Amino acid sequence: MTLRWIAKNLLEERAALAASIGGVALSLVVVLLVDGMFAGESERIVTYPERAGADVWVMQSGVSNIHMATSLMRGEVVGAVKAVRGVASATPILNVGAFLESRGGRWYSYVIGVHPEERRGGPWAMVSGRALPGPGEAVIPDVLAQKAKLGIGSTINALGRTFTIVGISTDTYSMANSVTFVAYGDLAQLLSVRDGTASYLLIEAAPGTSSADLAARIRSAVPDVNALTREAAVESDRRIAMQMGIGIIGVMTWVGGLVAALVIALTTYTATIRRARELGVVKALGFRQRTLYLTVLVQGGVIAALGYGVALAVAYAVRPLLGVSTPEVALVYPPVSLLRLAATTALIAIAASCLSGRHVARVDPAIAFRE
Amino acid sequence: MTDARLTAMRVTKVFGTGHTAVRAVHDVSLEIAPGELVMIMGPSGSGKTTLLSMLGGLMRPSSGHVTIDGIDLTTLNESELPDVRARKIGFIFQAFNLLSSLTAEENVVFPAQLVAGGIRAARTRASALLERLGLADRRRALPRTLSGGEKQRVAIARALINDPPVILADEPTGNLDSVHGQEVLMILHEVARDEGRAVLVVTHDPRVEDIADRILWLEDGALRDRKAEPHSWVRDPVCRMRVDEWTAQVSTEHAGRRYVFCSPRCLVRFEADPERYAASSGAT
Amino acid sequence: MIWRSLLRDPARLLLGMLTVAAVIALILIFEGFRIGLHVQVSAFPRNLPADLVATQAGVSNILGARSVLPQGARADVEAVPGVRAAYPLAGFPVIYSDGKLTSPIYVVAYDTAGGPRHLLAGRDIADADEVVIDAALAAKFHLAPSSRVEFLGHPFTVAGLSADTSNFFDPYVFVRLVDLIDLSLAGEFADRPMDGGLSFLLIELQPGADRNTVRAAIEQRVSAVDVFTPSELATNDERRVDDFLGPALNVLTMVAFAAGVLVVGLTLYVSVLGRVREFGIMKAIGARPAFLARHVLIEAAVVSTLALVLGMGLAAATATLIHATLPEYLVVPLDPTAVARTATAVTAMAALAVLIPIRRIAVIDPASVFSR
Repeated sequence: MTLRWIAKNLLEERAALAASIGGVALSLVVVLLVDGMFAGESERIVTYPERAGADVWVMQSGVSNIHMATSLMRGEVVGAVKAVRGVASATPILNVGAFLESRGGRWYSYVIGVHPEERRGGPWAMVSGRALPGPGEAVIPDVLAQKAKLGIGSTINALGRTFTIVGISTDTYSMANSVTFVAYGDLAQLLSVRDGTASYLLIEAAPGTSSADLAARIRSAVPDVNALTREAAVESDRRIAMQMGIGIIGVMTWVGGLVAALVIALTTYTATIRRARELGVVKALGFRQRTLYLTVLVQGGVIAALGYGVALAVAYAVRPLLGVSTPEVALVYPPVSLLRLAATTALIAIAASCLSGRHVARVDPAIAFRE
Repeated sequence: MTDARLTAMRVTKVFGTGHTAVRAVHDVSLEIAPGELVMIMGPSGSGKTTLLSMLGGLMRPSSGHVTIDGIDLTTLNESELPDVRARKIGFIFQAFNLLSSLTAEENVVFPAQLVAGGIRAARTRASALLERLGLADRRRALPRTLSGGEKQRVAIARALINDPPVILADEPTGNLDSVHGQEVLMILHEVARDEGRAVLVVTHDPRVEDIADRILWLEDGALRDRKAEPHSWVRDPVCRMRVDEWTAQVSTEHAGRRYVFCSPRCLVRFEADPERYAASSGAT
Repeated sequence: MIWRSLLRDPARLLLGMLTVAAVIALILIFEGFRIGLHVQVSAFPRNLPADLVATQAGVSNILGARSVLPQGARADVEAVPGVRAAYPLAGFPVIYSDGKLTSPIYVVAYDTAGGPRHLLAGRDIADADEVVIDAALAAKFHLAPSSRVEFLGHPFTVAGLSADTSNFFDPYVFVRLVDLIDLSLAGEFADRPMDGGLSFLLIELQPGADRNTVRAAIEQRVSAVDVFTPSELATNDERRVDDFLGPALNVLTMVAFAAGVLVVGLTLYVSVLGRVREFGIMKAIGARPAFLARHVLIEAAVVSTLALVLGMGLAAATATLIHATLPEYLVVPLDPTAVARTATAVTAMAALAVLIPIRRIAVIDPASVFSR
């Protein structure tokens, strides 16, 4: 019955309840979105090392990333790697960050030079056109094509040269580093490197060879390089991406959490004040202090829980919408983030309700006798 | 009386200390037996609410004892008092104090959570109470849709739900019209006489005198017994309003006769032209 | 009367204002984060000691760009009439890790010009194997002058800490170009990080030479390069930040705005709830809906204005806290344009939000003043 009373109290002023839940929900949505954007971006950032088709990634010694790193290996070094036992194939790619220009717009992208005859290193999923570009050709990500209003046959400029778009790939875009493919020869020329040079080697392990063993073997056989299994390379890039964002995620969580806490505090406090008389009457009737604390806690808890639920619903609903309106932003909600936010919300509800709890303790039951 | 349900022994309440101390209730002793309806009257500020709060375990006396059904409230600590209030006392307030978001029936059963049996057992009792008080078809109504009389009857039902031996009513008819007020008073009379409860009514309503077993007068914090006498109703010579000669606060003497007034304004007008008003006055 | 009304429950007023202020602070922090990034990324290019800067043809940024100039480019540029000197600069991204933390950094190898402008601690590079690192980067990795670090597999000593060389995804590390080349030639690096080791040319003009004329001449004569002013490069870098984070920040700001509408509405609504009887009495004595609506609007204006001021204070405090605990982030919370934009947003918020309490007032029954 007490719970029913609490529920009915909450429902008595529906607009206030809705506004409270909405306020809590949207402040939690801010937190979810910040977290989700970073998680989404991190997932996108590691898509290339994950999907490009390498069992082992080989790069310049001292480098252990693909994202935001510079790596260059001379032809002789590449040859040495190819000769290591267990290497079934070694696909060289060149990699440089550059701006793509078209019709007055500019977009940053990793430009990857791939050999048209190689199976690895190029796009793994296409929307339209050809996957592997020849001389003077380029394959761009779908999101970029959408933003820049480009299609098959359009031209873009990069590093001072004009390329014709022959393919539009998918799963190759991120805010920090979308991936554009051009011919290896074109990029080698633009970077003024000799044929045979590679930024990275995508190694296919021979049947029966474990990636971890192969990576170790390459490292010991060719001291000029570093070799990472696909998983290690992905993890390394993911770690960089997450570390860059972790600070700002923390800040936004705090501020968003503060807003949610204040909304709950405001709602439970005003409810307590408005119902001071009823609380006094309930005390007079013989209910203990702890019952009254409970009413405040449950009120705060209900608003927080519903706010969290609405926040989740909004966050998931927003995802496909953003996918259309703002395709640059990818949203991923890892379960651990959702759990963490749920725990934070619960703590917020308890803390915010405590503010009103103090007030409740001071309600004088003799108030029932007053007019 | 040894079987008194409600006993107050030399109860005193002082607010503040030193020369700012205010003695709101002074050395009050009373006993109310089962089946008795006792009325306490008194002017505003006489300490009625303070006394009622102490008798109901809502306020600790500065000295003295309050015993309900054999339990000395003054020996209990704060955490033990709510239990006594829940099981032993039924409150009826002037402002009704129903919980606005609950229906009439829900308001009545609400305190039943605090006693053995709980809500489930109380529902039958609640139905019976609402039926008896003529509210059977209003059980699902919210307080804001009830009339004043209906609200007070719901409050009475709530006060009775846990079968308390003592009922404390603070101006139960204060916000009611005469018909509904009458109704409520009759119910209180029945509750005392037919159910054997000790009922204490604090009120200004003169009609309570007709049903009270005893009338006590509280003035300046002290209690005086007042026998159940008929009122001495006279008319204010100026405005012709009925005034109780015994309790009137404003009065004067003129030509060997005492005149009482409803307010100082009427006294001023009388004194401006006493002959005019004295000629037209008379007892009721 | 409105003031007395508001001040009747100061705790509720304060709580309400704090709530609105927190949302305003959130919006100001988003804006401040964007502006802070602009300030951070544009500092280095804008302050390059050059009249013009040459980049690889097709490259128009420093941030995130890989610019490779042919070795002969310096001589070619210096041969253009009006050019007094062209100082080489090499810049390339590297990932730095101390085993526990990782950070991308941008290594700047400078000759005589283009080195760190403003040192917060330590001194400029004097010896080989020395670096100057960004102060925020140093804070993140607990480094100080004389700390030992390893870049590209080679040990260096930190000589000094620089300011205005930071952002959260690309803090700068300075090394002398001659040291880099020496180390590279001596095979100290597994491979040269940049083939050629020349990214930019910092161009100093002859006294009296016209910048635009010389610029056009260089671009015409030296096809391998594009030429920009330092402030153009800075603007381009700012635009890169907008491309990168703009969409995300826009979404977040919109959500914060929506939260603000609800929060302002809630604050006004609970204020009205606490005074239902008062409004009922006003209606009973003849106050028209327009009068009551005006009452609420004025209250909304008062609360919003006070909350804006409070929010600005909260944002400033949070920005200071952020910078103290996470030095790689710069949040500029009180940029006048951002504040003006936020104030407009707050006005819009309040205008939408008042609909909530006004509706509530409309349903107050004036006859309720007679009931208990």
